[in-house]
Amino acid sequence: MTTRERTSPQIQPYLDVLESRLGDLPAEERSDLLGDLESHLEEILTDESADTLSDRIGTPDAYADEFVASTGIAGTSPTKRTLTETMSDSLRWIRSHPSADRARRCGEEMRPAWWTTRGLAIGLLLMWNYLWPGNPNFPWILVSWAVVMLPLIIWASMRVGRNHQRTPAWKWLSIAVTIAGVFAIFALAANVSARLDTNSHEYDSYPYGSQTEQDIQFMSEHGMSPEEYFEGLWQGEHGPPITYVPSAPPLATP
Amino acid sequence: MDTTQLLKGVLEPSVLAVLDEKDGYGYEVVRRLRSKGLNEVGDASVYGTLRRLFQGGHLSSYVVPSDEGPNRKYYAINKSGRKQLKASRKQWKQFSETLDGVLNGIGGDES
Repeated sequence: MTTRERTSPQIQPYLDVLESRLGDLPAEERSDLLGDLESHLEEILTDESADTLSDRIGTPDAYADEFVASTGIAGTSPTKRTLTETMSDSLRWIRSHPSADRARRCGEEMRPAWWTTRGLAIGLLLMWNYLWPGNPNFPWILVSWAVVMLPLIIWASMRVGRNHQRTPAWKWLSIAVTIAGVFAIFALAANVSARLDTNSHEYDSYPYGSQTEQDIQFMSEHGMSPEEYFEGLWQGEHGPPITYVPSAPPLATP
Repeated sequence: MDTTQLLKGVLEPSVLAVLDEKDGYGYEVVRRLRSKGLNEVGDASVYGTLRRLFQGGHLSSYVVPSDEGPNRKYYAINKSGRKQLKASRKQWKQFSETLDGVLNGIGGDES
């Protein structure tokens, strides 16, 4: 058998490509097969013909595909790949890219900041209803929230973040907290913008949660939804007393 | 019609039939199949089929030193291979008769 050192440069690509397609074939079978193929291809080369090897048997890739398919060995032919395999290959390629490494490092440095932010957002959302001077327990409950609960929530969020790779339970918890954090940020943003709206325009965005008893009575008497009612109110169609509380009570009751 | 797809299913019995006539080495088997009219047969397919038949125990092999090139690995059909060939011939006969009927509109509800 010809040794690898004397392998024709025309043959080597065929052996290399096929070797990469042989999957988990045992080493003995693998070298037997490649050695055989080398003799076989040399036979084709020495045949009296001026054509190159690829003219006669096709490209190394096509050759390896055809060979693996006809031998029935469990090769790793790219044509047989499943979608998930292709996707994980692409992911591996993206991960191995230098800028992906930079992005990952940057992301890792940002993580504690995110853990703090989401904790803060969740905490603020939970205490949202106590934040405003209209609340009877206003100062004390706010202080106790700010001093005790908020740091506790942020601490818990960071702890979940740090341990997210420890066990599947931690991982799921971390995913849940992430979702809650994202939700809290959006909810806060929505509440803040609603509040700003309330302060700048008086009626058109009057929060439905702040109906007076007269409002509610009128709606139930006329079978109106709050949307209809406030729309009518704004148009001046029905004339119940318009009561507007400048310091709007909480947006939602706890 | 592209015959490469058709060839796939019948390559195994074809290789067995060629070796049933005479032992042969890889490239020689390809040439013999082509000289019999299977011009489009691919080298990789034939060689892969040879390997599969050998791994499946239908062929035995021996090495013959060659003056001009590398040693040649000859393949010979064995008892199991002959049995396989016999079964394939019978199967092919049935199949080709059926397909003749289908393609030419013979038998069934055709007038």
